Amino acid sequence: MIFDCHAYLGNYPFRPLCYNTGASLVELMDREGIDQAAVGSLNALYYRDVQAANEELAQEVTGRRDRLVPLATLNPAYPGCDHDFARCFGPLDMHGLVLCPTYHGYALDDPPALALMARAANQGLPVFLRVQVEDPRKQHRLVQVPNIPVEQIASAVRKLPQARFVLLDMGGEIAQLLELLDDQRNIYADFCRAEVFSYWDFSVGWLVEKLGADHILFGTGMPFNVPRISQVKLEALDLPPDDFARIAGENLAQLFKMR
Amino acid sequence: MLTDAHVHLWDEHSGVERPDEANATQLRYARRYDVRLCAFITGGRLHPGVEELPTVAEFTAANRALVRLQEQYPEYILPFAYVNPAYPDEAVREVVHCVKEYGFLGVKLLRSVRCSDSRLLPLAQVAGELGVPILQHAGTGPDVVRPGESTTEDLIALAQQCPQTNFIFGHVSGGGEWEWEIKALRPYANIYLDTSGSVREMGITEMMVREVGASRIVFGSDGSNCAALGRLWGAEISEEERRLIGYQNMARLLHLDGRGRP
Repeated sequence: MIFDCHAYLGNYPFRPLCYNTGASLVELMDREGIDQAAVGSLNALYYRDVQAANEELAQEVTGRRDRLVPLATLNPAYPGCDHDFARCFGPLDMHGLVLCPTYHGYALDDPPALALMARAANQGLPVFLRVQVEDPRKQHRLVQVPNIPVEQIASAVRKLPQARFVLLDMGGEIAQLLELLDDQRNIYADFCRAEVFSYWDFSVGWLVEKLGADHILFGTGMPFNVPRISQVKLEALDLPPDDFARIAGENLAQLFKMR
Repeated sequence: MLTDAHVHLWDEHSGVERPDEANATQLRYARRYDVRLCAFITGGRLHPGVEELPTVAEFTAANRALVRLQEQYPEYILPFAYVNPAYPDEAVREVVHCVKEYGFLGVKLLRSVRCSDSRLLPLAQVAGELGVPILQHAGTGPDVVRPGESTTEDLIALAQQCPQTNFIFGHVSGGGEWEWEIKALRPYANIYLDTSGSVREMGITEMMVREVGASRIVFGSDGSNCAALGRLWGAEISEEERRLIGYQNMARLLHLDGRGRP
């Protein structure tokens, strides 16, 4: 089973996307052999009121919840976040919290963000961090968004040992993060930024060695990014069958089962 | 079989701590996916504060190190000569020597001199006479700011002055504005586009095919091997277009046979 931890629905302001509706994303998943995907809203990066994006996402996954697992993007620096939380994890039945602090203008270790993540952790919800959405080298000049600073991630991880963090689209800076942490057991990482045949230290193999195969997740960034790339990486790793199954989908399924 | 137009290999001066291990990763990739590597060693990262300004002795040594690697792995390595055009006469001599003496098949230029610099013109003309392409590191975007780095327009200017020479625009997926690069390069029949780079966005290969046509696109990785394979294999293009990009265009440019040999 392939279970993608890193998929989107919605629009991107600076180029057209394909496969960005519920129906068309499932078509793409069928073509690419991806069974399930945890999906967040791309619109939520840009809407002032992110809850409108969560409502749209809930509509898009209706009737497709066997394939698309919705994640709620919330903004702890915006009014009504507590109410939105209750709606997303109540009537809208979403399965994880997504935070995008560099898009929404707060620090991950600000008290309201910590309180929101603690609330999610107390309900058994994994916390997905969009460390990077678009490669900074090619961001539009109107929207230059840095990655989530490593120090902020380390601070949040240290302060919330009960939370389970999924680091989406994090590159070699994860080495710095691990140096800042005494305990990394509550960190999970998507492998999409790492290469397999890497001549630098950072690689998928390095991630597996440092975090363990039970903490690495298959992620694509589709339909923003090409999903086949992660399929090629997964196959090229030549993992033992148990580790392959964990990374391909079991680890993520396990994260959602803790709710 | 695939031909990868953009492969860095390494010696002890070229910027990785363990060059043998680094080269081994690329050969593992070549064996696993049956890839012929258009490879070069870009020596000269020895000067503090200047990324790519090799002396004549340094680029010559890098090319000789590549000769030795090619002798070790003749079935996989298609060697490209790396030079610094800031030394115009020596650069021309080295390229001619590498092609005639060692059978090198192309030229790689990085960030020593912007390619619109007039010092590069003799080299570009000689490459045309020798029938070898020039792979030029280039791009458009906020990140294309390093000294000696060529913009898309720099390469266009050079290609217009040397219509008999074939150029390869390095790494459309390398972090520049790929939409800009593809549209800007469309009119220039002697500029090929290499697909390499770490950017994973959907639609790059499809736009290249739509705008410039599959016959001017060559597969490349530039170290992002799985990203490159995924972009090629996952692209919504015809199988004939995939074959052109994956092998046939580079085979035509380098005069390779059906087994990827010169």
